[in-house]
Amino acid sequence: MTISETLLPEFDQETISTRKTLERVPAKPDFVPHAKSAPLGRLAAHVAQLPEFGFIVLDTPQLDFSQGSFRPLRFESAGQLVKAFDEGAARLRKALAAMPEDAWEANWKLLFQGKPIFDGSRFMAYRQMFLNHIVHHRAQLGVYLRLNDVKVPATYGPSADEPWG
Amino acid sequence: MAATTAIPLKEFDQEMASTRRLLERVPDEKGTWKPHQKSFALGHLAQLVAWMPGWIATTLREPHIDLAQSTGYSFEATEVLLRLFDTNVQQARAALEQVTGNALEATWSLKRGGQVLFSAPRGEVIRQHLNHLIHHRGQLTVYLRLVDVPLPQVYGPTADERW
Repeated sequence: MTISETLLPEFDQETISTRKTLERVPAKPDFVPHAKSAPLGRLAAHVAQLPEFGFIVLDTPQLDFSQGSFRPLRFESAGQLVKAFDEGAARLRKALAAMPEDAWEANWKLLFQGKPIFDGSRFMAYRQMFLNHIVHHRAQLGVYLRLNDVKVPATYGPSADEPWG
Repeated sequence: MAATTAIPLKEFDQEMASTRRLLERVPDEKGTWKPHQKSFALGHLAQLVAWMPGWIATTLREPHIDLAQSTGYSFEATEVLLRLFDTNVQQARAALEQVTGNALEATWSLKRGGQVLFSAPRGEVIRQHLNHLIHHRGQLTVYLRLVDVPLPQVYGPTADERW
């Protein structure tokens, strides 16, 4: 099995759960659970945009956040986020499936004003900055949904609203 | 699935380090606190996160886990949870270091009593355990924020720790 072949089932599974969560985002973009928290609209848009970021990891050798090439998505509606997510995920999946085996070990860098935020293999960048990162923020979004009395989808196990399977 | 793609040691070490930094900040005097009546209590969520690296260790050592034999949740001191977490991390890391490709391709099952709930190649299962841990750790970050605990960085800057 190639690295891409082992990553695809995980990608597909996580994509289904993330989409389900985004579909349920209520039209309350300004909701904040705490004064220091990211507002719901920003958190949800960040989750929806992460596949676009994942694509950049596979498609380029580096990204400098301060260059303005990666513009944050603005929340309009759950439908708009799902659409952006679907487009990003389809593009990323295609790149993932076509990734040559040796490209995973190649160096990838994330910079901020020239300062390295991440410097490692593309494989690690994909896992940490796309896959693990989206799971992290999707889980936070799940708590935000709960606090807005929205039913939380079952992801790895049952939620209080949805049984397993 | 090669061990290097299931959970590379470097990834495991980074994820466990950021998980420990969060667990260290769990205010155990607020163990029963929950953000919503349908939510899990803070102390139980923290206990689950402390247990989860142990699932990786058990999955790599045994052909199955039987949920009927698992222990129930309790409210424990953060110090106790950290000791449990450290032991589980140490065991999971040792098992990850030793595991071979064949063992990762072997079928592993989740059971309750005699019933098989789920079967998959072991490599996929341990990967799902790690993602599952990241999921509950993500929830824990919101819980800690809501009880006014300053948040350490996980994948990027927080309102308390900048780049």
